[in-house]
This record gives sequence, structure tokens and C-alpha cells, in this order.
Amino acid sequence: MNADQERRLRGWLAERHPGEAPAALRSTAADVPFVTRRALFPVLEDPLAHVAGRMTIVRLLVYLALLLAVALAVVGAALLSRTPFPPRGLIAYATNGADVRLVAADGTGDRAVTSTPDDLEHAPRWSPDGRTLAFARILDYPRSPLDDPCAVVGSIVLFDVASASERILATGLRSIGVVEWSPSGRQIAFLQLGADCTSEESGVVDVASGLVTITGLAPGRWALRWTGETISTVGASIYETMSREDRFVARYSGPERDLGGHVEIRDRQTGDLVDLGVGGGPAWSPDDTSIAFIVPVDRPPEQGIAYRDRLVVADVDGWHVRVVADIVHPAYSMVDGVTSFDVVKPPPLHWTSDGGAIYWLDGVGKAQVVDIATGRSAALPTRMHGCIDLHWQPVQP
Amino acid sequence: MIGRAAESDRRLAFTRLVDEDLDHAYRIAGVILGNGADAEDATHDAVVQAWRSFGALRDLGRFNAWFQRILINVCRDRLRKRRRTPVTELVVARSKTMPDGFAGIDDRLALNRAFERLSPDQAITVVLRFHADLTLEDVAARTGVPVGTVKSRLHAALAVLELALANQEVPTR
Repeated sequence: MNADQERRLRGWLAERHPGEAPAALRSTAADVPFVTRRALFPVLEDPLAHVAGRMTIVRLLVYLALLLAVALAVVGAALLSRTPFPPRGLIAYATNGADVRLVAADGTGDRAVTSTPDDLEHAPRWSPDGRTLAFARILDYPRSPLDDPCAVVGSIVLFDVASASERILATGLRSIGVVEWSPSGRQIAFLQLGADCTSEESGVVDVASGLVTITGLAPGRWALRWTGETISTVGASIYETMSREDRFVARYSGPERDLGGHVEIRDRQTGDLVDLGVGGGPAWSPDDTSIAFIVPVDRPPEQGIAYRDRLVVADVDGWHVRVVADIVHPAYSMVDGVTSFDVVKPPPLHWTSDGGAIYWLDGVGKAQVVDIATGRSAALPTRMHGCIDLHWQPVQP
Repeated sequence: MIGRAAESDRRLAFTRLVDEDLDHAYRIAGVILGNGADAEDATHDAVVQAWRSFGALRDLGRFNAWFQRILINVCRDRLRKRRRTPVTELVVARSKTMPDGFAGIDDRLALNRAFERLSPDQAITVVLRFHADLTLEDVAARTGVPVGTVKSRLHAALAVLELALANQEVPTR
């Protein structure tokens, strides 16, 4: 190679070099001397080359064993944590005979919690840990609240499921309509007839001591809501349901499916109103992030086998609306002649405490339940005779 | 506590030595591999390898040669791998923004083609000799071969490059 050729070669080599080393190559952390994109994402860049070129057979086997272990752990955890369907636990329900009963979610073991011909028991509610059932008891004849609205006839009763024993938590109350546990399970709120014997008042019972505190008059209110350990009354209209954190109110403009009432969500802070379309019976999820409601599909037949509704869940902002399941209702008069259930109203919906399923009482006294994630539906295989109110037991994972 | 302090000192020493040598190493890798991305990867790999075996280096005064030898090995591996991978050559158009101080575009294209036809060891030898300006002995030390082997590699490589610089067709290997 002559001098000119060498000069040209050196020039070409000099031009070929890429300049200063990029900052990414320099030490950026005391503990990791050289962090670059390759160090952070070595496998992503060229996974096969990485495995083939850098690993010894032994190391590769170790990595494969680790991957297998991780995969087994993930699958095992998924199997263990998979929510059973239908949800496990007991369903507590009040009957039109004014007693409280329990039935397992698989339809077995239907049994009475109370069997008191002279008393009226209703409003069964599970404690947050699912161990204790609270319900209201009203002494019947001769001190019927129908005869004397101001009669001191009410009690709140606790029923321990494990020991099948009951305990009177508070007594000396008036006619009680609603019972709700606080999130901690340390208090129970109730609505009863007030001292004026015409409007409602709210109160709280301390579960440990049984101490009763009347929190105030609540005229026209029919529901209670706990925000943390603070109670408030809601329900100015039976066509409204307030989210627990009090910001959103869902309402539907009419109870009858034939009238085409719409479900609306109103943001009480901003005043925004979202119309979710034709539907009814809105119910907020336990975490207030979603709302479920019924969209009628068929008119209930005067004669026939069944009619359809659609169970819909929407995000609180109304943007993500999805049909969870198509519901087929039995046409009651054709099933067993029972027509007492008001088919013109959507059935009141309830969420399980973990927010994983929605359930309701159908017209023949069976609990229907739908898994939110999969849309699978199931019906309690046996009827809850005379059921007018039900509550699914929270089951601890 | 003493062990932790010694570890910290070792990190500091390594970081200082690499930082001093990093630009030079990156340039060498860039010239051998022909692009900045590959140079970055090769330099990084060399640094990581050096860090892993830094404890085996007894004489820190020889860090530069030791590190360059690691770098050369990494570049060789990458060149070999690249030769096994089909590469689509991009056609570079003449541009006024390209520097043209030493030679015309024809020189560059010819040398590019010729350089790609060198074996990885020949290419590395050329770069160390004519870009890094190492003596034949130092090239031998960096590449881990006898000086005679360096000479033969250089001879074969220059024969190919001379043909390119003479604007003659370089025979396919």
C-alpha cells in the first residue's frame, strides 16, 4: 500500500468513527456502574440471541426451571383466587310471613332463623365479616304499630351463625324499617319512626355496648348510607340511588318499563348529567365506580313462557357501558299461578360485597345471580318461599 | 464494614478507569463495526464483561490494554454474528452535507464494500493498526495472536483494500 492509499484509508477510518460516547454509556448510578438500554432490556432486544449466545446450558436450565416455577405459581394463584361461581356463602332472607331464614347459595339447608308467630322480623343484613346477621324485630299484637305507630315495639337482634344463637342488641325502639352495618362492623344504623310518630328518624347502635344514639329526624328518607363510620340518610325519592361517596346520584324517571324511563347519572359537584338510556333499578357497585341497571327488552307477556331483560353495567362517568347478561324472566302466571310479583318494575338489583356479582330476586322466589366478569348466570335451585328481601353473605377469601 | 469499603473503592476505581477510556473504546468499536448503535452495544458489553472480571486484574496500570482486548473480542463476536446475518445494504445518495475532505464518495463506497469483505480479524487488525495507531506488537497483544499472525492478517486485508482504493473490483471471498 502506497502513502496515498494509506492516507485515504486512514481518512476513511477516521470518518467512520461515531464520535463521542453517548451519555447512556456512562456510569449513572453508584450501585449499577453502567446502565444502558441493553442492560435494562437485554432480552427484549434479541431474545434468541441472548439465550443462545450468552447462556451456558446450565444457566439456561436454571432459567427454564425458574420460568416453570413462576408459571406454576401464577397458575396456582389464579386457581386459588378464582372467584367461585355462584358465590359461596349463605343467603339471608325475610319472608312475607315476617320471619328471617337462611339458605345456602347452592340451594340447600333452607332453615329458619326466627319462627315467632307474634313478632315481625325483617331487614336481615350480614356483618362485613359475614359472621353475624342483624335484623329488626317488631313486637306484633297486641301492640301492633298499625294500631299505635308510637308504640315502643322495636329491637335489633344479632344472630351468630356459627353458634346459631341470637342476642338482643338494642330494644325500646319504635317500628324499625332499615338496618345497616357500618364498614367496620362496630356500629349498626337504623331508621325508625320518630318521636312525632309520623316521620322517620335515624339512630346508631354500638355493637359492643348496645348503646343507642338517635342521630336525628329524617323525614321522607328511606335509606341509610355509611361514609366511613359516619351515617347519613338518603332516598328522597325511591327512583334515586346515591353513590356512597355522595357525589353521584342515579335515578330513573319512572318505575314502569312500559313508560320507557331512562337511567341518568348526575354529578352533584359539576352538575353533569349522563343519560344511560332506557332502563331502571340502578344499583351502585360497592366501590361506587360502576352502576348496574336493567334494560327491558320484551314487554311482559300477558300469556306466555318468559320475557327478557338485559343486565347492563356502566362506569360512573357513563362512558363504558356493557351488557353483562341477557336475563330471561319466567312469566309468573304461567309458571305456578303466582302473580304477586310486580312485573312492570325492574327487579331491585344487589351487588355481592366483593363487587364480583349482581343478584336479585326473581318472580318465583329464586335468587338469580350474574358474574360481572364472565356474564355467567345462575339461579338458586330452590325457591325461597315468600322471600321479600335478601342479602348475600360476604365470604372472606 | 471493611469489605463494604473495599467494594466501594473497587467500584470507584473501575468507574474512573472506564470513564477515561470510554470515548476511545467507543470510537474503536465504531470504526470496527461501522455504526454508532453497534458501537454502543459493543462498548457496553465490553464494560459489563470487564466489570465482571475486574477482580482478576491485578495491575490497574494495564487496564487500558486489558479493556481494549475485551472490547476487541466483543467486536469480533459481533462481526462474526453479523456475517451470518443477511444485511440489506442501504444506498447512500451523494449529499452536499457529507464531508469530502480526504476522498471522494467513490472511495468511501469502495472502502465500505471492501471492508465488509474482510474477515473480522482482518478488519480489527486494520483498525488497530491504521486508526488506533498501535504498533504491530500492541495489535498482537490486543488481539491475542503472535506478531506474525498480525502481519499476515494485515497483508491480506491491505491487498483487498488496495484493490478498492485502486478502483478495481474486489474479488468476492
